[in-house]
Order: sequence, then structure tokens, then C-alpha cells
Amino acid sequence: MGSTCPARPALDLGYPENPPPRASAFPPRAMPPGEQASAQRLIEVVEQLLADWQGDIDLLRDPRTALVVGTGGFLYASGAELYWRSRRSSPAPYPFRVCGPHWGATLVAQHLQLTGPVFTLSTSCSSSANALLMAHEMLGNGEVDRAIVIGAEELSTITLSGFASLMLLDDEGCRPFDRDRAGLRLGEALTALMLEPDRPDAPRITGGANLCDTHHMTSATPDGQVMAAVMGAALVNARCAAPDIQLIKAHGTGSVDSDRAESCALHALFGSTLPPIVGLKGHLGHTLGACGTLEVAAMLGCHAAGFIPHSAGFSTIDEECGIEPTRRVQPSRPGRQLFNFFGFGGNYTALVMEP
Amino acid sequence: MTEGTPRIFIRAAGGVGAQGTPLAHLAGPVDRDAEPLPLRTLIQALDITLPRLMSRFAQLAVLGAAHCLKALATPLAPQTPLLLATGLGDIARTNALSDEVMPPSGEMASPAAFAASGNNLPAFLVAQLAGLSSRNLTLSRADLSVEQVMVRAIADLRTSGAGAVLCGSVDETTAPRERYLHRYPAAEHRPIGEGSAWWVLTHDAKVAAGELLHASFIPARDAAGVDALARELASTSLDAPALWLGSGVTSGEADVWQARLGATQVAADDLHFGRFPTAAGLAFARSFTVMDTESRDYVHVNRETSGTMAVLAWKVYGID
Repeated sequence: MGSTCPARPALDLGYPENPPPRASAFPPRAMPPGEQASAQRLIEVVEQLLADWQGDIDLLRDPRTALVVGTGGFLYASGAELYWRSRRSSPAPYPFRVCGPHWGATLVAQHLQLTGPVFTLSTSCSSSANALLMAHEMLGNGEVDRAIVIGAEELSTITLSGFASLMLLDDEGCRPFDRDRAGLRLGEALTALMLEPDRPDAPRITGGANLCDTHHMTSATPDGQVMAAVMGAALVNARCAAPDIQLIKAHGTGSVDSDRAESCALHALFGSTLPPIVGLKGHLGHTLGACGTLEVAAMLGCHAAGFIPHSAGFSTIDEECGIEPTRRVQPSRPGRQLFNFFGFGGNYTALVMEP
Repeated sequence: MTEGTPRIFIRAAGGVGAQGTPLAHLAGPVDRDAEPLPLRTLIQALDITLPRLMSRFAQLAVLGAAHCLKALATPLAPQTPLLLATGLGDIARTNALSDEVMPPSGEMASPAAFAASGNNLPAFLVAQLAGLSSRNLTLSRADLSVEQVMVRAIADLRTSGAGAVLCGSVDETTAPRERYLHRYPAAEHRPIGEGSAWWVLTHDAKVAAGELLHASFIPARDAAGVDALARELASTSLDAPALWLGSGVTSGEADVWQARLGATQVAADDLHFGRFPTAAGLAFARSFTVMDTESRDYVHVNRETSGTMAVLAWKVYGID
């Protein structure tokens, strides 16, 4: 499994710095500046993944290699560019096809000459977590022999303005589960991972689940019932139980209601014996549809480096939540980890990993 | 389906085409682009209450799903997974938000409009409508989105223990044609369609309106594979099927498919529904609205710009 992350804000997890971008074989295309920049970034991330993977590139052209992309609103960035261009320079229809949710996957598939399954999941903030889950299932079913999973999200004026208008942004940054939390800090990310079965030394996805909370399109059932259900379903799918979980990577957006609901769900499932809980969005920002792959890659990176990160932004316990995420860096521990990802449209996904 | 694997049936299907027209009323061929006529009245007529500021994209999905759900004798179990395809996402809402926040307007996005702009909002609303709380995924594969959802739904039925899967596809294309063409390669003279198609796949033969016989992809440039599949389909379960042609299939290829399959009738998605990714779903779902006492076989052939071909084959049972 390999990954890379050109996300902003910069990582502060004790990683070695990402290597500088390699010279890319990706040919310049007749694209407008916005699209070309997005495409270049995407291809660079994939090329870095393949360099880390060190497998036989020819295998990628086999029909048993899948590409699954998760993105919530990747089209927004390109859409904004399109708008800009239409007002500034060209009144004519444009000779390119961009902005559909499948744009990034098509681009990568063409670049790598893939012939296997290629599709995109667009389920808001759980998008790339669902991409991981789907790829895991396809590998488990024997449908494919390997899967490239990409989480992609670019910031745009629409996204920033939209979350601001919903009054969901916290000027002081993301403070997951903190008493004074006031909302999100947005980020952006492109993350690529390679999933393959039968790699005993590599981190594993051991199970997962996706459920729909139909309470409201932008807010969770307040008692966290469906969040608890999806975590429980993920544990069942991974053939384990709550006591087997050694670490929880919470969704922890820093928004008042979502963190409260997640707290209720965690207490309902784990009772008084909660394992350490980590919130990463204080470090990485909320990268929306890309947070699944990004936060999985970040946690695996931390584990490989021997530590559990602290939860940036948290300082004071909210008695109503009763959750105290990690305050300082701790030594990593073996065992299963639970990852939560909750999106608009009541789209909830939980993954169980064994790093 | 592959020998030795459990059979998969279609329990019900329904949907709407341009302007929210129910599939059974789509007479075709279409001769103009879909028009953005309001859908609210049609939604109210079905007794559906939607949150305010739902986009046309979401409205089309809910309308189409309502027609499919109405065709079910009993409601779906809450644990039924829902898989929705979209080739294009919510174009009109994205354009509108872009117009709102970018210069020269430069205003704050409308919170309700932004909140309802996600590609997965239609799937959420349909889950609400159908009372579903299980897996809920919105998936895209450009022109082959419908077939990709079909393949994923089959995998769900075979491996997850689900008794049924609610599948759908939706695309909205009433943005000004120029802004639509940025995203989709419709020929200048080809009308653009819109709509949503829904169907329920199940293991249960007792409630079946038809059977799914085949769903697969053939990689680009594999002409031998295409030929082999056509021969295989012709030699197995199909009986003089109707052949539906999706996007990108050349007339020469259509002739080959027709000859190989012994197809008695050939129709094109574009001509009947307009050019847009969900057209394949409309062709599939509409076949279940044709009232016939005889069973009928269908094959749908589709192709994406990369050259990959997708083939669906199914049987619609005759009505006693």
C-alpha cells in the first residue's frame, strides 16, 4: 500500500517530508489552466504511488486491475475554472470534457491504459472511504487482483462559500470533540493507495460497512444511533467485536452536532472501555470526499513510524460528549483500528483496519 | 448469468424521461433537447414531499424512483441496498452555484442550495422515500454508469446476503446546451435527454417481472471478445432478442450484433430518449412497461469513449 498527500495545510504528524514531485511522463494537453493543473496533480500522485508500489506496470493493464475513485465535489474546482474561462477568454463551447464526477478516473485510466473496472463513488465526505470499502470487497470476491484507490477533492470558491453560508467553518481551526469547537477547517487532498490481497506484511482492511441515516440531509440522528449501527456492522463484517479495537480514528469534524452524535455512538458501542481516539482534521483539515483515503494513509504512516498522533485542536473536554481524544503523541500499539467517516446525505462508512 | 451462479431476477422497474414523463408514455423518437419545465406538480401528484430547493437532478431521481416503487406489490425491506448511477452529476445546480459565488456576482452561496447540491442527495432522498437504511452509494462511470451499477448490484446480491437491491440512474441535462456540451460529447444535431430509471434486482423468482441474463464489460480493442460474446449469447438463452444500441456503437457493429443475435428489432437509445448517460437505464426500465402476453428477450450494447463495451441481456416475462 502506498500513498502520498499534497494536501494543505501541511502535515504535522512527524512524517518525513514528501519527496519533491518527480518529472512526469504525463504529456501536456489542450486543457484550460484550471483543468490542466488538476490533471497534472492527479497524475503526479498516481505516478508517485506506482513508484512506491514497485510492481510490474504491465499488470495494471490487465483487466483484473481496478481503479476506484472517491470524490465528493471534485467537479467544483473545474466548474469554477470553466466559468472563469467562459467570462474571460472564450465565448465558444470548449473542446474538452470535464467536471462530471468521473473526470478524474477517466483521466487516470487513460494515462495508465487500464482495461479493468474503473468507476467513481460520489457520496460526499464518505466518498473515498466507500472507494476503499468497494475495492476491498472486489478483492475479497475475487473480482480483481489489485485495486488503485484514489481520494480526490479540490477546494473551490463554491465549497468554501457553501460551508461558510451553512455557518460550519471555525476560524480557529478544527477542534474535534473540544468544548469550544465551532466547526470545520476545510482542506484538500489527492491520495492514492494500492490494495492487493495476500500481502502478509502490509496493512489490511479487514472489514467495513456503509449505511444511510435518513434523518436529515446534512445532520445526523442526534443520538448517533445510525453511526453506532455502521460501526457495529463494520465490526461484524471484520469478524471482531468492540473489545478487539485498539484505536479509533474518529470522523471528528469539529462541528457541534456531528461530534456530539459521534460521541453518543462511540459510548453506545464501546461503553466505558473506549480505546484511544484520534481526530486528524485538526492536522489535515476536512478534506471532504478525500478524507477516507487521506486519513487512512496518514494513520498507517503514523503506525509505520511507531506512534499514535495527538489530536490537534483538542484541549478541553466537552462534558456533553465525554470524549477525550489523544492529547499527545503515544507509541503505536498492535491490533485492529476502527475508522469513521460520515457524510452529508446521511452517508456513513466505517472501516476496520489492521495496520 | 454464469452457469452455476444463482439466477438474478428483476422484480420491478420504472422511471421518467424528459420533463418527468413516465416511461410508459415515452413514445419517441425525440426531436429536441429536454426542456426545464417544472417538475413540482408531478411530484405533488405522487404525494411526495421534498425539502425546499431540491435540484432538478434530485427531483428527477425521486420522480423516477416513485414510479418504480409504485410497481412493487410490497415495500422493500429497510436493509435493501441502494445503488444509483449518474454519468454527469448535478450540472445545473453546480452551474447555478458557480454563477452565484464567482465574479461578477461574488455572493455567498445559498446555504440550502449548497446543502442540496451533493451528487448523493438523490440517493438519500430515494432512501427516505423507500424507507431504506442500508448501503447507499452513488456511482459514476460516464456512459457506462448504468452497467457499472448493474454489475455492483449483482455482486451485492451474491456476496452480501441482501435479498434485493434497488438500482437507479439519473441525469439532468437542461443546462444551456453549450454548458452541457462541455461535459458530454453529444453531437450538435443530436437531441439531449434527461430522466431517471429505477429497477429492483432480486433472488426471488416468485416476484419476478423478468430475469437478468447477462451483464459484462469487454475491454477496448477486443473485437474477438465482442464476437465471442455475441455468439455465446446467441447460442444460449436468447430468443430473437430486441437489440438496443447505446452510445458509441457504430452502424457496422450494430449490423454484426444484429446478425449474430438474430435480433428481430433494433432501436437506439439516442433516438428514443436523447443523448445522455442514463438513456441505457431508460431502455432497460422501459422494457418492463411494455404490456405483452409473451416473454421477450433484450440485449443492450453500449460503449464509452475509451472503447470499452458493456453488454446487458435480460428477459421480460409475459403478463398473464
